[in-house]
Amino acid sequence: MKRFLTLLAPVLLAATLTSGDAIAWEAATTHAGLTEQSALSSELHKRLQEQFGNSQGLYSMLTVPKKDAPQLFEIVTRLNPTHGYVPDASGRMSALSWLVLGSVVADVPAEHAHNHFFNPQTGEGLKNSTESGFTERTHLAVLRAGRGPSLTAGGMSAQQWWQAPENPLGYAGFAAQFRKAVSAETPAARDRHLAGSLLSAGAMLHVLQDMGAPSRVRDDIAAHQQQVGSSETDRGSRFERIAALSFGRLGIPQAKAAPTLASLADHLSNTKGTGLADVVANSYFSSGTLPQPFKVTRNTGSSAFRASLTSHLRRPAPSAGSESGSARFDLVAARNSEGAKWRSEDETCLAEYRIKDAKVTWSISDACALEQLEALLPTVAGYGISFLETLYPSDMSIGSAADGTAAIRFASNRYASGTVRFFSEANDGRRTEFFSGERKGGTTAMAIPTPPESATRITALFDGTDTLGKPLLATASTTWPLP
Amino acid sequence: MLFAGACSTAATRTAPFRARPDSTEAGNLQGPFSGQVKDSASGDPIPGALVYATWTYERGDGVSQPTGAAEAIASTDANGRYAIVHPEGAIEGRLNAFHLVVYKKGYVAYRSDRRFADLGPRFDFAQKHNAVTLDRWHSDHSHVRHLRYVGGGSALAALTAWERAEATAELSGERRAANGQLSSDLLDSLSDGRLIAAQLLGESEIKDITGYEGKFESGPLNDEADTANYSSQHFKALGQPEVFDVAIRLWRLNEVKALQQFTELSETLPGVTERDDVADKSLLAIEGDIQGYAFLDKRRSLVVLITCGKGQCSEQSQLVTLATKIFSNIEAVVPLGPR
Repeated sequence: MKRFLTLLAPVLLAATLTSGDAIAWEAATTHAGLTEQSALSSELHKRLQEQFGNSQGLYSMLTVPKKDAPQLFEIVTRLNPTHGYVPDASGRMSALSWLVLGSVVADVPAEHAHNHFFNPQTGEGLKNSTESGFTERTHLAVLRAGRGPSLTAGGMSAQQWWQAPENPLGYAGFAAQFRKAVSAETPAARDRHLAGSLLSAGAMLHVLQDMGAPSRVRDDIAAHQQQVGSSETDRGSRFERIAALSFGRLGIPQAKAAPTLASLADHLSNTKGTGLADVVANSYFSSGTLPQPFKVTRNTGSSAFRASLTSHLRRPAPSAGSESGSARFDLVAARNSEGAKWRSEDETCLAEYRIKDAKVTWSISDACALEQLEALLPTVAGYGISFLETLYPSDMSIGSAADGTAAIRFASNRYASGTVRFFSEANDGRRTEFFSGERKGGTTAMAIPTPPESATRITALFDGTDTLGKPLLATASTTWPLP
Repeated sequence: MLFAGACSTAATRTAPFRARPDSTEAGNLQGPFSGQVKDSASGDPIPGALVYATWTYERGDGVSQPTGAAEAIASTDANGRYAIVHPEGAIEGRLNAFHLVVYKKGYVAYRSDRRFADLGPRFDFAQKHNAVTLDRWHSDHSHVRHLRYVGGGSALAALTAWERAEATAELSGERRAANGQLSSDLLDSLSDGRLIAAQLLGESEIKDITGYEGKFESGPLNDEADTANYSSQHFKALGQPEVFDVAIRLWRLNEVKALQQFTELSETLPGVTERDDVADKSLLAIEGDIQGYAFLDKRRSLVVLITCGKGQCSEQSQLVTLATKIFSNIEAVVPLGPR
């Protein structure tokens, strides 16, 4: 597969990187494909069936009337339906499609895309560490004039953006829709809000997926201003364009298991360095953050080369490693016209280096970028699985207590304090709240009062915080009387 | 001047496909597009397949923004041919991509950008004279994968609505055994519309057996509409009397009802003779110039009746050979594990 894609890259690029404007980590293809892979590999299907009562899970048809979301539908009319995330004329499509749509529209309007960067070193978003000089910037400004949105430094960090009130598809929007997806009176209203929660979940997932692009976690704006076609105005991230061309929506590889992460924010970055942004920033270079060139002589040995490299790294990681480590530098091959490849422990190409006129220079070719994408995309999809399962948790359930009465159980110790609301559902699907109680930290079970006689199903909604003080929503549902 | 120059770049990206199958010249995203859709097994043209074309428009620098999309819907003619033109009306932005999807129930869909088998990029799509071959749907195929592959658009969503139930069950782990073998649930689910009469026999397969050189027009029979349990296919010999026609009726039932259906056929069809040529039970029926052959496939709970006029099947053995061919196609499309 790797060899096939390596051979494929130049063909694709020659065929298509020829004109037009630049594109970022492509929403229509790469983001959509990553979201599909994560969702289909996750437990989300089962959770929508069991917790939200949508028997067809990810394939449940959910309707959002156009009048309820005019701005969204204004965007949707501009999207190509062929990829499966454009609702029909009545605003109806599957739960999976609503999730994917969220991951596609997160870049619209373009100003939102400026907030899809996170530098784990500083905790900030896109600044200008690799911004080009004044002359180049002026040149770019002239080229861009009148050509639509362009990427500039600034904006919030991705972590701030998830929580920002200005973000219509951030956590606040997700939480509001999630609550209503459980508490709304009619099935149609609950479906509408479930679609809304999935839309926000998809948009948040988009931001997480962006952390899989090295330039977005290494504060590298220059990587997004590369010329990617024959036209000078055709600017963008060559790396992200290669992803779109090589994998499209359908060719995104299967997800790889992600580490266990305690909270949503941890998926992006955490103190252990296991967040996606942490892992990618420390494991890969971006084109604008490669080591600086340095001088070598015929007599420069491996140790001296490694020492020089270390002193010319723009960031501590990826590091040049030690003599006993896995990173090997072939200085003979580096003097050939094709140069040599610096490979990671798992043999993925990190960068190419070449010695010419007693100077080492570094680059990432399209073939090297393709190897990185083959390793990165399954990792990104894996984080997506964990992220979705954290947003729609399943560690709260309704069952019988020892005395035969109904009780709600908390299977994990991450639940802190919060309100638990209980709803009864009648035969016609209408829900009413019949009890609300406070859960104190440490409680593993709560008794459920007897619901009204008309109840055919009962549903619980936990609305509180986890032990880290982060907001936490969970729901559980079962038929009544208990099976 | 600089500003004017910056705005004057071409508004159409170079197409990633060829103009024609026999050329190296790049095609035009704008179109027009043409091609022919055939059955990959028989080589027969497939009439009535949905052809769904879309164009994507974007603008932006560093961050792309969708500005619009255009769509055109067509279906293949009696010879499996299609022709697509871009709908009238200008759309703001750069024409960035073109996608074509071909869908016919009973077959794996076709996309101009990706293959179904490995989801790899497709390199054989051409703007004009494009050759599309559709593989017959196989019960081992995944509906989850197929729905993802087909994508969207209202027309396609309507045609693939039946696949959502299949995909739901598949994701819930209800239809496929862990080892990939067909589960009994899957066999039971044939009545969900998995197998249709159009999959059972191709035009060229009939011609190979009967030696007929004329053309057929194919489609469902008019006597009874297709249902969850019943499907039909009529090969109407163009310009010929009814005795040149071939018709297939397929009943997808449970084991008990399949046996009942076969028994009913044996009791109601004229001139019935019991046979043991094909599947578990079979019979031959004759009335005038029309002869029929029915068989029962117990393990799949299927009953098939094929009728062929004497103008087409001049010898009885040709009808039996047609029935044998149908059964072998069923075995290929719905394989079973060892008994």
